[in-house]
Amino acid sequence: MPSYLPSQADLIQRARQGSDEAFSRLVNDHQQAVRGFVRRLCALPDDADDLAQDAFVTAWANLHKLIDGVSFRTFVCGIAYRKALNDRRRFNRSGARDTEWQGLTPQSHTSTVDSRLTVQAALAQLPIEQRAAVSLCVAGDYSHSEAAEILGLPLGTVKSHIQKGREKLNALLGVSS
Amino acid sequence: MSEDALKALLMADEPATPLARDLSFTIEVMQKVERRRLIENIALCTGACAALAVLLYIVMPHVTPGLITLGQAATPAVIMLACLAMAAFGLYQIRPALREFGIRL
Repeated sequence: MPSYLPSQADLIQRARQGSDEAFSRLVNDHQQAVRGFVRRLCALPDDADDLAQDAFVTAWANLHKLIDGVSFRTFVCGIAYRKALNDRRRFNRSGARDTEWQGLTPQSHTSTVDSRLTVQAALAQLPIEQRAAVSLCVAGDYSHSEAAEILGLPLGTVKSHIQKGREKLNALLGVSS
Repeated sequence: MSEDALKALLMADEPATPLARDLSFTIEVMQKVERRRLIENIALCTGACAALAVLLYIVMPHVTPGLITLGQAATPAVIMLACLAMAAFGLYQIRPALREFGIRL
């Protein structure tokens, strides 16, 4: 094992050449950021960890697609976000089928503005795009351009999602802006 | 609420903050990577074997009379070729491990 600390570019290069040790170091270095982001997107921490693991495995299989200049963290978070979107769509489709089958009408979302919510419950009230944008740029230390790269959205749209998400969170948490 | 206050509130959210370096998470990721690699290798080998079987099924009726004519003279060459092919396949399979020892193939 080398005595110096290899840079991210070195680790990516070695991982691309098939080094499992380099890839496991990348996972170790970036897992907290990716898991934190995914946990804010998913309702349950266990589901979030499964999704984060799948995102890392997909990143391993697609390392050749990682463009120079894009950080590994951004790359994995982008994959995780797309997986979360797909999960959400699948969940919505199966939910709609179940509702139709049972002959039930979908329950309307009750307003929770009056009650003080936990942060996680308040985040769950936001649309996934706003939740992701707020998680990255307000809860995390990502720049707006990094968030745009991860979410695959124009910069202006990301800023708009952050603004709307922040306003809605303020209202849901019952704190005046 | 200012952005800083909202940021502090979000960052103080316990369930969203995992450990900085969780070894069990890394191990689970690497297990999934190995499983995926195994499945890819099995799919590759199965595909290659199926293609070879189809190729032999097509070629053998034409080649067999020639092999019979050559008789036992061709046996050593066939054995050597088979051994070389197996060695090449084995080296191909273990090249990630060899790379860890600085041997690049």
